[in-house]
Amino acid sequence: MKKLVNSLLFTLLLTLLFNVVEQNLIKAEDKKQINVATNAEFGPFEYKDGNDIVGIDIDIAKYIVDKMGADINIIDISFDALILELKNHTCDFAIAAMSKNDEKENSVDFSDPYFIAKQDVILPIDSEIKSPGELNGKRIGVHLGTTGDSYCTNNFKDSEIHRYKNGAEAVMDLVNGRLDAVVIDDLPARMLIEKNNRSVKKMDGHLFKEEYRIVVPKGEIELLYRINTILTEMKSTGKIDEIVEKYTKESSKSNNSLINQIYNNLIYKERYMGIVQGLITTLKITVVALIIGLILGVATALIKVSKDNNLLMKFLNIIANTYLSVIKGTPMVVQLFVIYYLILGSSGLDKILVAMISFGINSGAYVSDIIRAGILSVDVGQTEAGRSLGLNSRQTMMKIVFPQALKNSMPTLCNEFINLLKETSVAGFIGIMDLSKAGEVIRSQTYEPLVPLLSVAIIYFSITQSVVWLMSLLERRLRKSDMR
Amino acid sequence: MICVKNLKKSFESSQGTIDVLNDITTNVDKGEKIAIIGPSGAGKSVFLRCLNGLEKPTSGEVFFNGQCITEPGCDMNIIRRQIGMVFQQFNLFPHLTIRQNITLVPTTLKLKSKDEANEIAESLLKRVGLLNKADSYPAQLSGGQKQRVAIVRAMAMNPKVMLFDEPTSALDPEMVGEVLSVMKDLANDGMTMLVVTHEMSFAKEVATRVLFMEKGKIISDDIPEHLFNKSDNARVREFLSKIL
Ligand SMILES: Nc1ncnc2c1ncn2[C@@H]1O[C@H](COP(=O)(O)OP(=O)(O)OP(=O)(O)O)[C@@H](O)[C@H]1O
Ligand SMILES: [Mg+2]
Repeated sequence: MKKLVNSLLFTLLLTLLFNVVEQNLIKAEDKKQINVATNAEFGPFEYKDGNDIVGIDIDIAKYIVDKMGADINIIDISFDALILELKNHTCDFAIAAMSKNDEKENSVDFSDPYFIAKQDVILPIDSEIKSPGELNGKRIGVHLGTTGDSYCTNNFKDSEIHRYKNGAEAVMDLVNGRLDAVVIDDLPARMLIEKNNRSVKKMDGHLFKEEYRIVVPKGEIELLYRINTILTEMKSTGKIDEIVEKYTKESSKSNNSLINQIYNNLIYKERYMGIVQGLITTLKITVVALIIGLILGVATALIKVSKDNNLLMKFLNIIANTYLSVIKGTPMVVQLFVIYYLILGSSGLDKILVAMISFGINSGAYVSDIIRAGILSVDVGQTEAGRSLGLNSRQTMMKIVFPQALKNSMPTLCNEFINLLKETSVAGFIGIMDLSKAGEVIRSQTYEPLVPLLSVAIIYFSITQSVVWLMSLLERRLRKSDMR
Repeated sequence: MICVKNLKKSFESSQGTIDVLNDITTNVDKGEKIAIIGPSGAGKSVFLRCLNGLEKPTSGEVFFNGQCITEPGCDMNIIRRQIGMVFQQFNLFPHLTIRQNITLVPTTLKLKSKDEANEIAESLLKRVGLLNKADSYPAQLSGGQKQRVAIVRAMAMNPKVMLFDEPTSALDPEMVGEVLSVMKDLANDGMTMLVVTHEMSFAKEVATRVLFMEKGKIISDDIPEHLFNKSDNARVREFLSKIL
């Protein structure tokens, strides 16, 4: 079902990676541990249950790895990044409800199919639409980057295609009347319809079918052969049917009162723990990034306002200017990808550490501007007084100008902290379970977006408001010297 | 003590270069109190600022105790410790208490221990009647009090010369007196002083010499009795008649 949409970012990264990253191929068989990449956002094939990654694909992968006599290590990353991980050889194979297409065939190899998925159409309960032909020209919701997405894009040329990261959100929009139909895999479709059986229905028949395959790095013939052998065995012994059965039966109560939704999304299976841990991760990343940002920001600001004209300062100035324009001229997500995949791609650093560094580098550029403006806002008379008493320019900066600049910049720095906190919500793109991602994961498990979305929003809001409040306290204290 | 030779200063601006100081030559001996007067834009401030290197002369030389301070190799930071300066806008450090304002530089430069600096600060503050304000912040003081602190801050460095650039111009009239009396006090102690001022009373009573500047030149260098009563210079008489 999932297929890569030809995103610009992806192509860029792929080409860069192709040239930059060169790693030796280590045969899967020689290892004790086999790394399997997935994107745990597509229940029931792969999703998070509390802290565990589970699903049909995961059980199949576990069975295969077990047959190979190795231990499994599951890597959860964004769908867009799966192919990159394979090319990077940071995983041995990927299983994520992926189907074959020409674009991908050039860079990776596919196993035999292990599952045939059908794309279904979900309609409002009172919809008049009866056949696929009538969908053209209608507003259609799809799961971003999936085969449903590209099928609809190619076949329903007159339609507005709305792309969602999550099937439940698409159905929510369908219920709210923003869409005329939602196209999605039959298994999630079944659950979504169950959840919303008073407002939506399934269109008779399937839109089309597709085959899910395991993906291995290009040229891994031996590995591919072993996977295919095990898959054949699993199909003939009924193992795959058994696994599918297990995950589709474990369906849900279709009572969606608010109390029930709260129970289901937060309390059942201790799902709130995911949010708590996400919150901790978000705070960790934000605080460390802020510290890195402050150090970088203050350093570049001091370089930029320095009046020394020696060669070293000129050189540092060029570096500082390049840093500032590159960071302010590109989106955070792109910076995160570039640092994660290209610059620190082969460093083996922990994802969270990489995120801290990336957000810190990003924030530093903005902090730099804030501090610089703060320094420039200090009256020249202050510098002159310092110099006339015999302090040198560095001492004057450190003892007289900078403390005042910092104080003047406090409110703006506080805003930057809030921005940074919110910005870290893109950490999920490299598979970090931050607060936003934790909410997304619950949504993908329960197919009920309301409670997870609101919980996450309320938490972000409470943190930002506390920061604002703390800041006003601090400002009142700092303003002591301005009061008569 | 200070010896100025052929001092010239010009600024580049969009209208071309403007000559602000035009060939100034003069001497200041130890213990002299010099008032510098003249119309606005004459270059009085720039002249004063050339003496402690806040402004770099375009050409000419300034000697301080025989040392040429306008040549490139001279360490101005050491020279400036010996030349106190008081500004029109006080320029106290708003983030520090009065005590810290005074002790910051002596302690930062490790000229004095914290205790020594503190002792000096307190005795100087006592002299100007502001000891009770030692732990206030500048924003809590009146203009006259701020300027007295600024003088104390400069004095705490134990300078050999004091430069004042219109020290009373930013003050409400009722506060001018308290600052002038501190300056008179200093003068009586034998401090060498250069004071740019519009306070003719100060020039009359305290100054031993009055320099009249106009268009970047010293056009009159006279003792006050002569200058104020029967100056030979028509421009000086015209200027004085306007402001007296
Ligand atoms: N940094 C500077 N750049 C350009 N021109 C300047 C600069 N500083 C001073 N000037 C010019 O030099 C001239 C003399 O300035 P200065 O401040 O010395 O005058 P002043 O005699 O002190 O006048 P006032 O009594 O108004 O303070 C003025 O025309 C002023 O515009
Ligand atoms: Mg002036």
